[in-house]
Amino acid sequence: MRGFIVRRLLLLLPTILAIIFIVFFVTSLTPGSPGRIILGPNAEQVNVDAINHELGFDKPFYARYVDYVINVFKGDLGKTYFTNKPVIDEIISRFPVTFNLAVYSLFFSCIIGIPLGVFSAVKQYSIIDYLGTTLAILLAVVPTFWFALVLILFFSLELKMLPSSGASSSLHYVMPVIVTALPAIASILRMTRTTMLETIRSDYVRTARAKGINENKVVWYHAFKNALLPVVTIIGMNFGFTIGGTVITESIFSLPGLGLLTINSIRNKDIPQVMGIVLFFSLLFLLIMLLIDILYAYLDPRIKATYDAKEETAIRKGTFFKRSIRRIKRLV
Amino acid sequence: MSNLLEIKDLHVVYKTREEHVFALNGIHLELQKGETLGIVGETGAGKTTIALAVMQLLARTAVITSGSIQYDSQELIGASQRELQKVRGRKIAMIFQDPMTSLNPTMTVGAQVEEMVRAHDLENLSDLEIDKKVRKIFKAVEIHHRRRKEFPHNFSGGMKQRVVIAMALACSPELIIADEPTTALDVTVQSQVLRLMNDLKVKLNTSMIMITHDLGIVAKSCDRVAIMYAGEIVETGKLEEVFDKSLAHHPYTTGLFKAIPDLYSKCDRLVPIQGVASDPTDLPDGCNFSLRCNQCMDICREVDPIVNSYGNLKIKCHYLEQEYKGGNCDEQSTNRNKKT
Repeated sequence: MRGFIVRRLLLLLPTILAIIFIVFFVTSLTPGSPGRIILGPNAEQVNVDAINHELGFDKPFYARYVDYVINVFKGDLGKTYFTNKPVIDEIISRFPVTFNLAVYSLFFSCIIGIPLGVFSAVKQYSIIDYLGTTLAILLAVVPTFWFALVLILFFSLELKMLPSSGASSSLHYVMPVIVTALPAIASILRMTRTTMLETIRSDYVRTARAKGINENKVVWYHAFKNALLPVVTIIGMNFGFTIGGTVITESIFSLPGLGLLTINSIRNKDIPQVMGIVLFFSLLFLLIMLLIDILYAYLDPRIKATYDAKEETAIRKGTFFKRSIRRIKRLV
Repeated sequence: MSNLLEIKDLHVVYKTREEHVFALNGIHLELQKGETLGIVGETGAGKTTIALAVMQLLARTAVITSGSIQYDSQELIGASQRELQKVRGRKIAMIFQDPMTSLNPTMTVGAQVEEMVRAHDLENLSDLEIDKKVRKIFKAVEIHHRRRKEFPHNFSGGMKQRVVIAMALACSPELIIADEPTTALDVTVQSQVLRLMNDLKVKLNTSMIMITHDLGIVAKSCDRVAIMYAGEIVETGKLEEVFDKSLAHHPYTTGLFKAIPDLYSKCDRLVPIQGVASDPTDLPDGCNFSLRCNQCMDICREVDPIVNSYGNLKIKCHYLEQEYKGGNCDEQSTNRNKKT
């Protein structure tokens, strides 16, 4: 198992390189030079060139790319054009807001979506089931931005219960969390229901019932545990989507998180900042996916067995390098 | 001796929007303590439905339209979940058809057996005692107790079926329903599993209902046999008598035995029963077997036959009724009629 994790972590490296390349390539296609962006359209060409030279923009593309990659692995994502602070500092200072938003909304969508999904499946074709599935469809089709605006109109303007912008108190998070949680509830509910319907009809659940154990135990211990795998995947993906989706939610509620930072930096053409955020999001997503894969092994012993089997063969055959060395030795 | 299990006039229908499947049409069954009853019939005859009805584990679409199932004079149909939980596992245990899918893939086999022990633990055993008991059960089904910590995917089909048997035996139930326990296994493993089940059955003096379509298994392990066709029991009797070719049988039973090769006589072709199993969504008016029966008479197509006794055999057939109860019966059958 440890070998599997190490291997997966090493595999992250080429993925990150590819991501950096794509991000770098796309942003370098945008017109304008950093000097012009920083100094504005009315600045002297000499000053613009000076700044471009200072930032290394006069070097060819591949040289800039290599520089950037080296800097990234040193932990340096460059400086923003406008505040002239390190990009990484900006991200770190904004991240807690987004993280809180994502974690809270995911937490609520799990504790609402999973039980509703399970009950819908256990009591299929009952009122709970119809309500649950209708709710899921409704939540899935309602656009986030529209719903956010409706909430603001109602709770902030009409009832004056909740603040509509900012992040200074926990009350500020209520509406953003609701807005980001709703689509997640929908997808988690539907996935839980589908997989539960499948497992609850399976032979081993019937075996469990035939044992004469408590029905609650049958549902949660035998059926749900086996239905959890696809649900965990959906939760992980939702975490990724939620973090990405904060771009909309944060700009509507003016939450000073990463999403708002993204929007503002794109508007200002603050290219190092945009690249930094995209890179950060991708890395976060990759890590979550890795975490899900590891969780799989703990949820399903069969998957763990395949991981371990791969490890075993890897140990038996040796690593790629060891094998190559062995071959070369044999030749010599 | 009173009956351990008594099924009376059981009707089960699978109702879906498109059609009604008449799975069981008036089943009468009795089982005494320590007895093994074999239920034989082709696919779709309703064998598994009987088993699931006794366990009250029928699918949601199944409706018990009438009848009663009494276990130890306790009515099981309509019993509350709590009552059923006390019966399942402790009094009636079931061995399912397919060992590949009937074990929970995410639990170790030891935990699955242990769960059964704990669910019906009346004496409040300590963890150590439970562990001891689980060990003993594993020993009984000839699995090394060290393999308790392994998951079902680490086991072969035969070993999985042993685990299923271990689970069924865990609380020493009075009745075991084995629903085609060896269908998914190859022949050598089949005989191992059967031997194991028979040994344990004798040792623990449990009653058993053995559901199968294999007459060989029935011959090996049963005391009494019930032959099923299209949701009805067409013939019941002692094993030796049902297998005795010199006695009169239901045409379906005769057909079944004709379809088995005989080791001692030479035969080029087996005689199959003509046609296919009756469609349970659209059963004929009279006798369900009338469409395929080579002795079919006019009355068979119109009136459902009743069960009559012929010696110790109980057979549901018009032909036998006319042949042996009417005017032109031979000596043997008159004797039998006198007995009954």
